[in-house]
Amino acid sequence: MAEPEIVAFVCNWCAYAGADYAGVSRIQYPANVRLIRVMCSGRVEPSFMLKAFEDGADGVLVGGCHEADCHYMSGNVKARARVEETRSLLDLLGLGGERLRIKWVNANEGEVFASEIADFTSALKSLGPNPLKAAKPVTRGKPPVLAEIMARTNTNLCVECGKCTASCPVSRRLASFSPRMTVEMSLEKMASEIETGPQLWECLTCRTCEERCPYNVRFSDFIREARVEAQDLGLDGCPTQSGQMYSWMRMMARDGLSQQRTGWADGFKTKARATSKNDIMFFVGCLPHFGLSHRHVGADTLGIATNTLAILNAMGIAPVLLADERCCGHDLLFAGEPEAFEALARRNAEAFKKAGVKRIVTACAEGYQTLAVEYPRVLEDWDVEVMHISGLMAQAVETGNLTFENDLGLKVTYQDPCRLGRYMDEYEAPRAVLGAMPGVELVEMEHHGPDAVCCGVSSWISCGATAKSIQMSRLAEAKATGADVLVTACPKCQIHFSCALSGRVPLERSEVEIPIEDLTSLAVKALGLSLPEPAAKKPSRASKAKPPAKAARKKSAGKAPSKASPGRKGKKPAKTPAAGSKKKTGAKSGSK
Amino acid sequence: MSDSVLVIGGGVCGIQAALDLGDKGLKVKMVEREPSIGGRMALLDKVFPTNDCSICILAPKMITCFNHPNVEVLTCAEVVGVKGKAGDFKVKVRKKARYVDEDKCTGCDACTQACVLAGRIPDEWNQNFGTRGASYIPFMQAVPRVAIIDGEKCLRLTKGKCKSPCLEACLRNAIDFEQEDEVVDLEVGSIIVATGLDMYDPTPVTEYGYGRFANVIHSMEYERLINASGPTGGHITRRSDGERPKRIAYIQCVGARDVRSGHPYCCSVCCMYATKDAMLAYMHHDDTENYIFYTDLRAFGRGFDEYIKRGADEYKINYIRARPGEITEDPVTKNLFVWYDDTEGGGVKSMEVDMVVLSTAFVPPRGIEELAAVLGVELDEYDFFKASDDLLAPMDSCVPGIYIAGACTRPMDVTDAVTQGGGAADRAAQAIAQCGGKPPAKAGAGDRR
Ligand SMILES: Cc1cc2nc3c(=O)[nH]c(=O)nc-3n(C[C@H](O)[C@H](O)[C@H](O)COP(=O)(O)OP(=O)(O)OC[C@H]3O[C@@H](n4cnc5c(N)ncnc54)[C@H](O)[C@@H]3O)c2cc1C
Ligand code: SF4
Ligand code: SF4
Ligand code: SF4
Ligand code: SF4
Ligand code: SF4
Repeated sequence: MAEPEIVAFVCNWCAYAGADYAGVSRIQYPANVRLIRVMCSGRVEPSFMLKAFEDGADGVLVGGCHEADCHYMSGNVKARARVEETRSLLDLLGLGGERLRIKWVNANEGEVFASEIADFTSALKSLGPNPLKAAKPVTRGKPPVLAEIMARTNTNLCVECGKCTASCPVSRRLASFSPRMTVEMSLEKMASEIETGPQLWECLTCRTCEERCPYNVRFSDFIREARVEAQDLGLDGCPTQSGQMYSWMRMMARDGLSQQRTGWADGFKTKARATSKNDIMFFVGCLPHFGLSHRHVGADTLGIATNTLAILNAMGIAPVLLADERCCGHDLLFAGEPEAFEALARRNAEAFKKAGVKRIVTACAEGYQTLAVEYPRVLEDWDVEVMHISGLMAQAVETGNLTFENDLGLKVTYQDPCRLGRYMDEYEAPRAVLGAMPGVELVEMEHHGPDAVCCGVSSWISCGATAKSIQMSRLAEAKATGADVLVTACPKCQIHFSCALSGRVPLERSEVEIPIEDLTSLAVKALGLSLPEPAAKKPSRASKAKPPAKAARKKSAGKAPSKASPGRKGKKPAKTPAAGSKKKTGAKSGSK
Repeated sequence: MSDSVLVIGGGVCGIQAALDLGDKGLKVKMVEREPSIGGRMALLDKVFPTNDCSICILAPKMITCFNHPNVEVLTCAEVVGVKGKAGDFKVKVRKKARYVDEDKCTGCDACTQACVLAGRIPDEWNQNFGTRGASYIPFMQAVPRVAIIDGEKCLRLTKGKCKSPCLEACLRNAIDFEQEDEVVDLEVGSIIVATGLDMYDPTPVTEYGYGRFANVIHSMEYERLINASGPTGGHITRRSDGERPKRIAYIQCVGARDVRSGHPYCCSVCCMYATKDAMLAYMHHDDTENYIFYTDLRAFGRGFDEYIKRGADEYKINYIRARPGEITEDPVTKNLFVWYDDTEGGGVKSMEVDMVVLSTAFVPPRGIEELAAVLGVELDEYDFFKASDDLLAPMDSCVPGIYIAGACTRPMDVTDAVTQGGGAADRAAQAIAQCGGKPPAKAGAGDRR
């Protein structure tokens, strides 16, 4: 085979000096390594490691000082935790965690450095090349021109009334951000100002403005499309975790990968192919991955996946799980990479077809929207029915196929995820599910239903002071309801709110601190299900993620839950499954 | 062949048509769905551009119309069948039981006060701000001024048990629980449809909190509150605490010029009536601050721009060019915050006010689809009646002999509704003449004036 290529991130004080020492001491070691000097191993983010693999490295080495020797106190320890996490991610991706190593090397340990490189090189030789190396990255197409985007998103109908800006959670905090002004710029044909301006990346694509714009200007779609050209200009608006998610998502869009990502589901009833009687697939999406990348903020997204499986099994459904399922592509689509999104869509669609899948359930609002709306938009022969777990549960509750028996004695409030609510017009199903749980009382936040406020970050873009401020006021709103738990139906909401609470908060903690739980977690408790023991080690390290079930808080039983539904103006052409929710139709309003 | 004209709808437009026809010597049958004629205008306080008292100028017309020798008014009535063609229409009208004999009742109000449910039923004629009983008279100036018993609420009619003090109270023995709905057959030569408008229900515009926030009301509610014969005797008060609002925000184009609500058209009247509303608030108390949030000020008529200017100069109305994004409420004071993007000054702002009035869209009246089907006429894309030619025959429906007029054809103000009523009357008279009926009498003949 071709010689393996290793990228080594080495710290200035120890590992780099060690390599240097090996050099001046004329210690021989294989010439397979490219050194990148960093001030501290703690500077090496998972995104660096993943980017190296994305670009074809066969192995990545992080070199730092011995423990307790770090020149910045604990950078090396943090680096080790990151490497651990990233190794698990590589396992999930099917690249193999063995391709990533961390090594402590002292400034005078030339031998240690040399032997590590020799050892790593031979290990990589036996592993074979990075399977992505031979696969071509997805090629970029021609970005849409402004006039096309404007026509598609109705910006030329704008009357400059400012309702969008007055509705926008970002504009309220960031005076320089204004959807109205951006639309006006488009009317003045200021394409390059839009593409290079900060406006483009501050938008949460939460659709609040769109929901309210009297002229149906589709601003979030406008932003989404304008980002394509910006990406071509090399602008990406400072993604969170410096874009590590995009790396693994882009990798999944390519040939070469062969994932075995279902290890976490051992012990559940699942199957690899659809049968004529049981043709439902559980599209897991990035839940296991986020479980790793966001363990540090206390979000348990893998738990959403295991809970969903438990619920499906309890409903008598042994869903199809695909070992080589790919990311749905949502985040890349919104970050201005439609080609990578389409590549993912095609791969997934092909795999669904092969497995005979006719119906898909997701436990994630974004995956739901993407599969239900964006896939049919780009795929010619898509004929899969897509459901969100809340819709499926609501349906099952209605038909008596799912009965919650445990009295949870909880007061809850519910965060409508943008993708489930404003994008898919699904406000009722999660409320119906909560309403069917004995002892669960739903109290609405001031902003709910179509007026719900976004969790502050979307598609891993622009997580900054504005996002934090939005999250704080949203959490304060949740807290003000007097609820015991903030329930969400989207892993990202959980991640972002947990993140906001994981660090220092600018308010009294008691004003914002509230446990955050996914709808599926509550459902599992109300059903009284016990999950199988965490799966055995092989092959995924993802099983390390904490088991989800936390003891339910016992409180005095709540009153009958609110059946109120804030849905409005049935108008989205969403391809909705026959979920338990009745969509309102007809644009005409009632009158008095 | 019939010489009569059927006028459907007894608003100002229908009344004008009926009067003009009656004065020409033609017989008119007026069918009004509600227990009183007068339509929307009978419930308004003042009317722009003159700021005349609305009922003061309308009431004489209502009474003249009702008492006109050539006009027969059927209230609580709806057209349920139409056959035939111009000159010879056979019409079926269903007249709902009033449970009060119109000929005997004097409108003395004794039964309404005696009713065991008096003060217990929200009064839709006062936009539910006031209350009424099962026996009630819609409003003070109702024509005919005759009581009606609400068949869906009256305990005797619904449950069969009530001591019925109403019966005893009525010295005229006018109350008749045996009355039943009846079908009346009419023969007419032509038909005028003037069924007017309804108001858009702003509940679906959840961001403005109508129905959620006590002090967010819509303009029809405002009209009743500021009306001397309304539920508060003309004092504008907040639903939350009965206090007088000192800062009032008016939000324009609610549900209008809004693709999402299904009403993308401009209602052409609300910019003007909001200005009127603000003027009235200022006239009542000149320390009232008024803020009108508009997208464009559509003051298109003669004298309208001057009216707006007067509003700004003499009545100190603040016009702010912005369509607010949302309204939030102070949970303690129940004051409201209007969040808006100041499109002239720039930046997102929030303004604290005591009351918000939503200027809601005019929409086609409920039941218009059924009525159109009965008449065989077409509706336009928004469900208003469609003219056969918008430019040259704006009052002709697509069926010869059937004419359309007033706010059921498009949003319009009183002046236009009256103009159309008169125009439609002429068209209807011509139709009869063309079919060999009675030619319109010469000017002056039978003139009541
Ligand atoms: C809040 C508000 C403020 C306004 N302020 C002003 C103002 O200041 N100045 C001004 O010029 N204009 C104003 N207007 C407009 C004015 O009210 C209308 O222009 C006018 O009422 C239209 O008259 P119309 O006869 O066409 O309809 P309407 O007044 O609506 O009358 C229609 C009649 O038809 C009846 N009807 C409906 N359907 C049927 C049916 N199927 N069968 C039988 N009868 C039926 C109704 O019960 C009603 O009596 C205002 C409107 C509103 C809502
Ligand atoms: S709400 Fe719509 S019409 Fe108004 S300024 Fe924004 S994009 Fe333009
Ligand atoms: S989509 Fe959301 S964040 Fe973006 S401009 Fe609209 S309201 Fe603001
Ligand atoms: S019967 Fe009773 S409820 Fe009915 S109108 Fe008379 S008093 Fe009122
Ligand atoms: S029904 Fe009798 S009591 Fe009632 S208002 Fe008429 S006359 Fe008076
Ligand atoms: S008249 Fe004024 S308030 Fe009414 S719809 Fe037109 S622009 Fe809006």
